[in-house]
Amino acid sequence: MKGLIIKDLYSLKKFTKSVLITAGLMLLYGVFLKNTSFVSFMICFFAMSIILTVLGDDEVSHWDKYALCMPIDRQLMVREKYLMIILILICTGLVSCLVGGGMSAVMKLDIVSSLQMSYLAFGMVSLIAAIVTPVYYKVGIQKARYIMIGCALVPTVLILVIVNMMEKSGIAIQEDQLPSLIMNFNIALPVILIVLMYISYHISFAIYKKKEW
Amino acid sequence: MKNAIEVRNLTKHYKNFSLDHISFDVPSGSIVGLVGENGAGKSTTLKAILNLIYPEEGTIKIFGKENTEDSLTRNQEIGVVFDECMFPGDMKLEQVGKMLSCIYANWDQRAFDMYQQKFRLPLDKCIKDFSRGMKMKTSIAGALSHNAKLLILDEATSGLDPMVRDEILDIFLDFIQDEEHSVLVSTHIISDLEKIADYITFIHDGKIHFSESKDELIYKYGIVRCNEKEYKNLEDKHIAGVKRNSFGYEVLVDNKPELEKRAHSFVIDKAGIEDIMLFMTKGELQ
Amino acid sequence: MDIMISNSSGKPIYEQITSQIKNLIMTGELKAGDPLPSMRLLAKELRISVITTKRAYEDLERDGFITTMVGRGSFVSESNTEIMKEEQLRIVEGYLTKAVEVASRSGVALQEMTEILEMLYEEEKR
Repeated sequence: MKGLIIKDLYSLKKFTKSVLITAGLMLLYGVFLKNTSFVSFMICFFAMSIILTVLGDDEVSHWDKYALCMPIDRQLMVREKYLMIILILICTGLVSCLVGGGMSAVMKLDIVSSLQMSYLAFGMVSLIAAIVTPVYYKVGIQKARYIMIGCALVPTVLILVIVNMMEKSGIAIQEDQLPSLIMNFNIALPVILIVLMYISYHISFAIYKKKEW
Repeated sequence: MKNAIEVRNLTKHYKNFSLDHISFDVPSGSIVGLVGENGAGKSTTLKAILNLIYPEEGTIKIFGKENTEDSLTRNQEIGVVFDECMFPGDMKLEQVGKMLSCIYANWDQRAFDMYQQKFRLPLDKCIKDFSRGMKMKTSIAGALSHNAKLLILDEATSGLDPMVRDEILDIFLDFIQDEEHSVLVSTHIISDLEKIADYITFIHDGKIHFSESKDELIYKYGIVRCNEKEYKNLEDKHIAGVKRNSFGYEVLVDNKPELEKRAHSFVIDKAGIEDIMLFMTKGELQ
Repeated sequence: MDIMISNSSGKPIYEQITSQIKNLIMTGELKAGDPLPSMRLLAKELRISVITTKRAYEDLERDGFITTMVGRGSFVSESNTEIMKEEQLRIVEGYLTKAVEVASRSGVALQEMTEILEMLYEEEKR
């Protein structure tokens, strides 16, 4: 496992430049528009690019074919990938909280809503990752990218549609219901994510076990 | 131990191609060349041996154990080189060494460094900026630096210039100085193996046409150039292939020593491995 | 120890090795007890198959020129060169006896036999 992690970490190194540039741009954007939520969100979604790179690099260099000739079994390959994905998600989540929260603190904006945004974004990206990874194992990185874009768009569209429908039919969420809704969401999310990741891992492994090169 | 690899009745069906009950051995301490034209089934056979594909029928044993069992321990002792270098392009040589040292229990950094110097591999470039020859040498260095007992190479020398291929042949000869070491090379470049291979296994259209000691092949096969009358005099059972041109017949026979002893007016030439392959696959009367 | 093999000679490579080593022993260049290179090392140096060198060594051992000990290697036999030459002569006589039998049955004269012998010696030299 260690060797595989080393390999993935090295392949992430090339990201450092673009990460810093993007982070800089985000910061400027956030400062000018006084919108830290956007920054928190984007940082989390950057995780998706990183994850797709980690998965895609392997496909491009046909690494799996070679790796399975080494003392590495298929289960280890899938496990290491999921470990990396979870690490990337958590790291970007933390960075998002720090940067978003920090900016809010400095610009005297609402820190809590910024952190909430980070948490929401983290949840969404983790959900997308859980869906996209088995897709990658089944049909490759190109199609997985399309699915990812779809996954990002679909919730947005859905939310807009639902909100629209709710407005039209006169259902409104009471203002005071909101905090408890949010609290439920905050508690439920980790559980949902753990369950989803678990299922995702087992689906990926089932696909990978049968794969031929 | 007798055989490093034993393949028995390996069968695998694809849409347009099948491996049909392939059987052959790689005896310990030997270099076996798996030869055949493109698409003959060499890579498919090797992939089955390495457990990258699942055969429909047949068994494969490596070091006496079925290749589906205990792959983790067994792969420690196998070095594989494919026709491309699969190391991540953004890594440098030192990082590749570091990564491999964590994967292989018997990693030998000194050997890796030795190959780096011997092959003059650059330490300051990323793998993706290596030339093809350098990439292959890197793969080979990786395969030889973890005390492997079995080397498997799949078209690893195609596209390399003769000097590099020669270096690699020397490395194989060094490798099998230890009689517990074995090498299985698949290639369609015959000249490389003609000198050093101990056994040649010829695969064509998914079937094994022969798997014999190279010396035997060169010793017993010959190409007879003769006219029609002489051709009819040759024993059918010893004819392995025929080509006919406007000046006569070219016949591949498998009893050259006998024919040479008899009085005859035709010419018998030595048959190289490539000749044998060509006659067996293309040689038929028009 | 110099061994030169030719790919274009009609003689199988293992035979070339055997005759050259026999020659070295007969002429005294290799003395009794001298070690021979291992089969694998010889194969590597000559860039030929190990099976070839193995066969050559097996033939040499069968004919009494060398002894191979597992784990120790191959050495020139202790036999006297004279005795070896006699042994080889006996083998030649055996073959010639058979040839003479066939010849006399088919009416081949002694002169023809001598001519054939001369021709074969010439070919062998090449």
